[in-house]
Parts: sequence; structure tokens; C-alpha cells
Amino acid sequence: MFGEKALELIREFNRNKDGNLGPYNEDGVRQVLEEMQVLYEANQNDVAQLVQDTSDQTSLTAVQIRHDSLQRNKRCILAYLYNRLAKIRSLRWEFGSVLPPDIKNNMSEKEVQWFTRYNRSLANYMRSLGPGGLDLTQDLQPPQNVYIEVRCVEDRGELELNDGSKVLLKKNSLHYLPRSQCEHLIRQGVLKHIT
Amino acid sequence: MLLTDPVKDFFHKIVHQRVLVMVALDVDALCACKILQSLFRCDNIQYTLVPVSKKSDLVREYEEHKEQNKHIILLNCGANIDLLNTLDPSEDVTFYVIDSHRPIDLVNFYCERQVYLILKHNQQEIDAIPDYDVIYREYDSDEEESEGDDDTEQVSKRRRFDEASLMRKKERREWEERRKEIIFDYEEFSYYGTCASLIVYDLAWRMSKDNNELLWWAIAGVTDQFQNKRIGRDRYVTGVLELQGHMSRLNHANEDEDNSKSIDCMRINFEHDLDLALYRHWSLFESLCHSISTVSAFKVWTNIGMKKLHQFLAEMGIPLTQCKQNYEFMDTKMRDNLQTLVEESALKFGLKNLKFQSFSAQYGFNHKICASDAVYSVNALLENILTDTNGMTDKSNFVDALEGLSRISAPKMKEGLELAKLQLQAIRNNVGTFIDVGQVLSYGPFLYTSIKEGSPDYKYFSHPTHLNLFSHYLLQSYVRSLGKSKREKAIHLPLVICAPCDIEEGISIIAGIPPLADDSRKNLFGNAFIHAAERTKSRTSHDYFDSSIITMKNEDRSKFIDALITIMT
Repeated sequence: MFGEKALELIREFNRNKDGNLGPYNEDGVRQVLEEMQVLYEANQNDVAQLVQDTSDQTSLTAVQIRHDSLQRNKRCILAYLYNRLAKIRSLRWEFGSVLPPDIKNNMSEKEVQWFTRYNRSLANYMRSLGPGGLDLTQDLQPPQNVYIEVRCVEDRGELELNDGSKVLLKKNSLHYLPRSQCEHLIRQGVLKHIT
Repeated sequence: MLLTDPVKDFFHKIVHQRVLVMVALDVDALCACKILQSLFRCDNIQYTLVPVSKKSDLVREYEEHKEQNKHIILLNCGANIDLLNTLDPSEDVTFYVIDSHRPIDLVNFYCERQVYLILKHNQQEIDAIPDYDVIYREYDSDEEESEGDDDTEQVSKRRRFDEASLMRKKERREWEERRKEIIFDYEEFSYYGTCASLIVYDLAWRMSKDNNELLWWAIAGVTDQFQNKRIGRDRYVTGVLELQGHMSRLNHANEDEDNSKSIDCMRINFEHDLDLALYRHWSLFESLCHSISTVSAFKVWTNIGMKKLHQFLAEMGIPLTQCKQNYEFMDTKMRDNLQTLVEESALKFGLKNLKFQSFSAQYGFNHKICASDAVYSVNALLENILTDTNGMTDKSNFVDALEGLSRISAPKMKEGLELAKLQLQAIRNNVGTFIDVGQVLSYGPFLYTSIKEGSPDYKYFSHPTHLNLFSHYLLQSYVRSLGKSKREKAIHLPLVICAPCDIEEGISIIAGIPPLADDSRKNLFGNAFIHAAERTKSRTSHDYFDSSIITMKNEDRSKFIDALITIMT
């Protein structure tokens, strides 16, 4: 049936949506585009014939169906591509400007180019905020305090702070530390912010 | 060394440092900890909080954290331990001890540099500590017979040394005898001084950083000391008066109609409250069945007692259905008059001390809680047996309890109240069974009872605070259940209670509480236990900060109790 391969693309993306980006299904996209090409040519012929011979309206419904399938395929492909880009954008906020190589392998060339351009835009924007720029990707939420109180969820050993002093992270101990230095541990789930 | 000016000598010294705070596991320490936390946050002092339940914990945590922290604050632990000996700190480590345990170890008091005690200026307490000259003196060198001593005059006249040195030895022996006696007297009784949260609140007040929240925590600390019968009524009233002063200063805006504070600020009110456990969060009937004064007065474990209780309720004029209703759904007219009704009827039934001075906090229209309920709740959270995995208290209870204290509207507080109800029910059930079965035995100088391993609620009593609470309930109920003549004697007898602590290892926990008649709550069991253990060479561990609670192996129990009887007669 028309539109099934496009649906397959969407299903594949959906299966991977919670994990990291899946590989770019070059084949799938090409097949859908081929199907669209076939439909389009068939439609071209039928429409030319309809215009010529206005009495024979039998192929009108066929044209309608093919047109709708074309639109459906187009929508599916666009959805696939757009969602992948949205995922790549969120990866930038999670991983930083350099992506791990296995994720990079899953992206198509165009997507890689898009990523670099997004990086550039984001960097320009962040540079423009305030003197010396502001790194928006550092904090999960807008910071309220310089120091925050955190609770240690598991034993992690020693943490060295910027001024050289060390903190021993034991399970269920509470600490009051500068936000910038425990942010990455909060993201990993070792420390829990207490409000 | 005693700090005279805590603001200058303590707080300003730690302002730009990292601090390690070691908190003992009781409500007073937790309250003090919360006040300290807010003070630290004001000045951006980085800190690490570590809970410690016993002396061994203290040593262990110190070993682990000692490289990272040079300033260590001990809350409700460490005053009665020789810190320098036990922890063996390096030269640059400073300890600040805020502890309500007494007697203060003399080394801690007289040590010049590393250990600083922060106390309230209570002249009586300081007078009680023996003078420096009585404890320490310049020791002459050991080889007195052969060499000259500090006295420069007698360097040449060696022939006279024999007589003079004999005199000196005799004098020294006498001095040592006197010293031992004085130290024995000083350390004989263990008791509690001003609570730690009040001391820290005082510090906050001197820095003008106090507010209603901190005051509430100080109130909770003082109430905890009174509720767990660590201090008598007189000392409690002194504490309350002081807090009342602060309270009226911080809450006076309510009286002025035009500028009254919005309902969304926390307000603290002073009130004469009924000494019924959790009555606002339970039904009146349940609360009467579980509070220490009514349980002992009415003997609710007997049928006659229950009938008397019903009579009491009838006398007050409150219908039974209303009494068994949750307090929130009781008829408003009855709720308003409850205090007066209870007071009038109480005298007829021989209930004394049913009212006491206390505080309650209100936040918004929904959240109102009184100090004693808050203390019950946090105590229950601290010694929560439902989170016990292998019989030992999980340290996450500490974090839960801190969370419960953080705001009066915290959901943990409600959880704590439910837990407290369970624990009070366990206490009430067991008190009834014990007295019925006659498990409280008089061993001469003290009363003795033990909780069997097979009993269903034994887990509630393997923790010190609840064991103490249970023993107080039991002692009061037992004394009330005796005839008049026996009661006269029993009121002066202390109680020793033994409960299973860890069934697999065969360890029981033993606690002793002072007699009912003693309002100063001086406990002599600390030393008595140590002596009994030495005599019988029992395998005990005097590990808790409160010296009247020890753990020991089950097998040594009987000979230990026998030795205790001999020591105390």
C-alpha cells in the first residue's frame, strides 16, 4: 500500500525516541522518495489525459488517491527529518559542542552540517549576553544561589573543589557547596539538590 | 576551654573556612543543626553535615573527614568525652562543642587551645566544675629521691632530701586522694544542661540574625528535652520564659490591627497546652489512652481503668461519639472549651500536671502544629524502624528528620505524626502487658524489667529515645498501680530496663532512668554501669553519648545485674 514505507520510518524513529539518535535511514528515505516519484509520474500522465479528454472522468479518484499518498509521504518524511534535528539539538544541550563519535556516525552529512551551524548560532547568542558571554548550557535551571545544599545519594569518594579543598562524599551526608562545582554531579544523579 | 564571646571567638573565626558539623541523633541536636545551617547560609560558609549516633561513629567519621576540615563543630556530642584522647587530632584542628550532656569532661574544660566549649553563662554549672588547682598541679620530676626538683633552693643540700621528700610524697598522696574524691563526686551523676538549640539561637540573636523560623527550632529543642524527661519542670519553665521573651518580640505585629502580618507568614503563639500526646492529630479518646499522665492515672490497660476513663469523659460532658472522632472533625464548641473542661475534671480524678506552658506555630490557614507534636513527629522519623534493613538505623532517617523539621507544612511532618502514633500504641500495649504480668521486679536498690525477644513490638524499643520514653511510661504506671505504702518507697527507686537490640548478634540494650521523685533528673547509672561491667568483665560497650545507655551481650546480662545490685546497695 502507498505510504507504508514512510510509516516504517516514523515507527523506527519512535522506537528509538528515548535513547540516543538512531542511524539515519538513508535507504528508507530513498525508497519513499522513489515511491513519490512513481506516484507523481503516474499522476502527471493521468492528469494530462484528463485535461485532454474531459469526458472520461474515471481516473479522477485514482489521481486523488495518488495525490493524498504523495502528501502523506511528504508529511512523514518531513516529520522524520524534523524530529531527528530536534533530537540533535537536545543532544547539544546534553553533551556540549563535541558529540561522542558513535552518535556522530548515526547522523547524515546534512545533519552534521546543521549541527555545526546550530553550534555557531548558539555560541554567537551566548557571547552576546552580557560582558564576556554567558554559558547557558551549564546550569539545568536558572541558578538562584551561589552556594546550594546537596545531599549525597551514594558513596563517591573525594571531590576536589576549585580552591583545592576536598569534600568527602559519603552516602547521606549533606554539603553546602558552590553551585558551579557540583552541577555536573547533580546531573549524574550522585548529588541531590535540597530546596 | 569555655568561650566567653561566641560571636567573636567562634563565628567570626569560621567565616571564611569550611566546617564539618557532626550532629548527634536527637531532636535537640537536629534543631541546633537547622539553626546553624541558616546562619551559615547567610554568610556563605561551606559546611558538611554528618550524623553520628555513637562514640564509635564519631571516631570513624572524624578519621574519614579529618584531612578536609580543620574546624569541626559537635552538636550534642563530645562534651562528656575526652576529645583529645579519643580522636587524637593534629595541631591545627579546632573543635567547637555545643553539647547539653553533663558533666563536661575536665580535660575539655581546661584545655587551652583545641577544644572550645560554647555554653550559656550559667554560674551554677561553672561553679560545679572543680578548680584547676584541685585537678592539676605542676608535677615534680619522677625521680624525686635522686635528683633535685623545681625548687631551686635545695639544689645543694642533698642530705635533707630524705625528710623533705617523704613529706612531699605524703602531701602528694593526700592531694591525689582528695583529687580522686572530688572527681568522683563531680562525675557521679550525669544530667543535661541547656539545650544546644537554645545556645545556638542565642548566638543568632547576638548577631541579630534571629527570626521566627529559628525561634521555632529553639522551641522544639527545649520541648524535646522536657518531653523526653531529660530536664525537670523547673528548668523547662525557665527555658520557656526566655523563649517567650523572644517570641513576643518577633510576633508582636499581630496585636496592631492596622499593620498585622499577612496570614502567610509563620506565627508563633504561646499557650497553656494540655499534656496529651498528639491530641490535635488524633481523636481525643485515643490521645487520652496514650498519654503518659492519663495512662498511669487511669490504668487504661484494666477494665476498671477504661470504665474510669469513660466516666472522666462523661464528667467533662463530651459525648463518646465526639471523643472518638478525629479532633479536626469534633464539634467546634467542644474544641474551644476542651481545655477548661479537662482541667476541671482532672482534679476530681487525681490527674496532676495536665497543663503545661508551650508554643504552637501557624502558617497559613491549614498548617498549625504545637511544639510537642512536632517533637513526637521528628523523634519518630529519627528512630523509624520501618526503614531498618538490617536492624541498624539507616542514616537516611537523619535526612528525613531534617526534612520534616524544615517547615511546619512539610509532608514529612505528617508522615512522622503517623509513625509517632504507631510508636505510642506500641508503648501503651506493652505497658499494659508488663504491669498485668508483673514483669516489673524490685531488685532492692532499683526496679528492673526486661523486654523479651519474642514480643511483637521489640523493634520499637531497640533505639535509645523510645526505650527511655517507654521506661518513663512504665515507671509512672507501675508506681501508680502500687498500694499506698509501697508507693512511698517506689517513688524513690530508679528503673533499669533491658531490651533486645540486635537479635542475630545477641546484643541487648540496657538503659537506666532516675526515680520519679527526682526533678533534677540526675542519673547515676552512667558510672554504675561502668563499675558493674568492670567487676564482672562483661562484654559491654558504653558507646552512646548518654552514659546511662549501654549495649551488652545477652549472656553477661544476669551477672551484670547482680553486680549492679551489689554496687548500688
